Amino acid sequence: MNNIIEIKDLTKFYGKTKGIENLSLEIKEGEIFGYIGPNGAGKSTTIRLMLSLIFPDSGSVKIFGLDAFKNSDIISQEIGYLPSEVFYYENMKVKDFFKYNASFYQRDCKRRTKELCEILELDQNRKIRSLSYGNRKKVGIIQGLMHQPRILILDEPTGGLDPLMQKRFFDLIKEENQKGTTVLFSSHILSEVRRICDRVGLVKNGQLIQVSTIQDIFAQSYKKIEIETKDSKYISLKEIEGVTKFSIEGSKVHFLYKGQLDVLLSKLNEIKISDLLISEPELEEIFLQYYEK
Amino acid sequence: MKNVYRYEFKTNLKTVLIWLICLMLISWVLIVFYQSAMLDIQEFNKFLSGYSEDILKAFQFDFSSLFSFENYFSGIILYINLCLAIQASILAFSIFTKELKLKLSDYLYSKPLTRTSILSQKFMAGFSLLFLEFILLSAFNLAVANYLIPGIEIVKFSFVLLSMFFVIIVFYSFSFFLSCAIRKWRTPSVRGIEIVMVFFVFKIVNNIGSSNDFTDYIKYISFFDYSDPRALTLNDFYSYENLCFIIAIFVISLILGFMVFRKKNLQSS
Repeated sequence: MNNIIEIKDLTKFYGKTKGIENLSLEIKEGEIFGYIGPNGAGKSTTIRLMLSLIFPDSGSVKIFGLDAFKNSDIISQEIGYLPSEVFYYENMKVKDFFKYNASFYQRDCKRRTKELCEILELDQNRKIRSLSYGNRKKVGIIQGLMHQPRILILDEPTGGLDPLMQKRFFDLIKEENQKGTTVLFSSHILSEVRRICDRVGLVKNGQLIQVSTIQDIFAQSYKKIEIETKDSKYISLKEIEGVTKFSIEGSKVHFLYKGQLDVLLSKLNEIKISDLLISEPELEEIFLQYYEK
Repeated sequence: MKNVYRYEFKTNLKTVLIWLICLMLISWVLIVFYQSAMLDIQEFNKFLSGYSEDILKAFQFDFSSLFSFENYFSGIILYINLCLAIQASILAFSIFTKELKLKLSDYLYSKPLTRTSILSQKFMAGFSLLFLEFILLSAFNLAVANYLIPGIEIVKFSFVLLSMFFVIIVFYSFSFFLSCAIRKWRTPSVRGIEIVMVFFVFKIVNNIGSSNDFTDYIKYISFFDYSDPRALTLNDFYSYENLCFIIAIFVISLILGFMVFRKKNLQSS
């Protein structure tokens, strides 16, 4: 797959405050890329640079092989963007806003707009001013999707949506992706990222600390081990390389393990255990593991 | 695509019409006021008519021109111009800082239009509205004056009214530049009035001050004086020096405004 977005050594400071520094990232055409990091890590700065809303101190962004800062008007024809905070023209009716939004694109958006309104159950006759936060978010989703863009940039997209709408939203995103749309999904809600993303990039303090597939992240991560035993030899488990956060609770022993599973299993074989549970950590826990370093 | 132009034109049309109606009322009051004062002036002229024409000329008692409607209006139009300057300034701040104020920058400037195109459409929308207002207000003044005041000089009065257009373009373009250059303009009405009042004070200082280094300097930054129609009492038209200043302010403000805005970081909030 070709790289549809190429970010190279991108740096942006706000005065003395770092936004991002020497960030390089490549996103492949047709993938759903999760961009995760805590608040203030630099996710929105990266997105705003990609959209030429702000300009970098150094570095480059190429989208569809074009310089994003020189060709933003051409590139934006094929980009759908949902910002984290949704603000639109308050006095407009939803249908007028959609008409206005469609007028920016060189294609007919009527049919798709109608379909999206039906899927997300949005009343087009109401004024934007009178909409709840969740409904405004729906307006944001529809304005980002109505022109069937090749790249969809979603910055914290699900805030305000109820669980049913979240499900419909994810179904929509998957549907768009199956049609060939590349999705950049920025979030700190990791269960969402795990649900739909192929690859993820973890950003911390303005720098990209890891890019890998969701499967690799879990594979490289520790396992949560819980055993039930009355055998006093369990204490020897503490000495195995890769064991951390060892704790005892009655007859239950909990610890984290990172390393070859057969090494652990051979040690466990030496102990009489009545129950064993090996589980993957939550993505949140992996996330914390990275950010606590 | 002229969608931004259409949107801005439609959104601001109602406000401009309200301003237009108010200014028409003010103009009408000022014209009627002159009509009433004319009765007293006519009495005074009757008194002077007892003197021979040579004596009146010798002592420069040519009150027919001193009390002409065109001269009266060229002084009193300052207050209409003041209102127009405030309106033009508020409109500029309102149009060019709306996205920042309403946190819409992310929306509008991520659309497939260049910043230059968006800004041009916005500029033209505001300019069209103000030009339309100038035309309608001038037509109204000409019609009312022609109806109420006998024997007005249409051409000279039209030149007097032209000062409204000069004030509009100076304050609209200057406020356009300020709203592009300065990062945080949150309240267009307050900022618009502030800017115009600063220049109005310059005008007052320029008017009352005796000539010295300070007032000589002030006259160059007194935007109201560039389009002062009182110059028409001495000349056939506005001075070319002042017209050059007006064009210079318009062109420089436009160029600088566009240059700054093209490279401006648009903050989301």
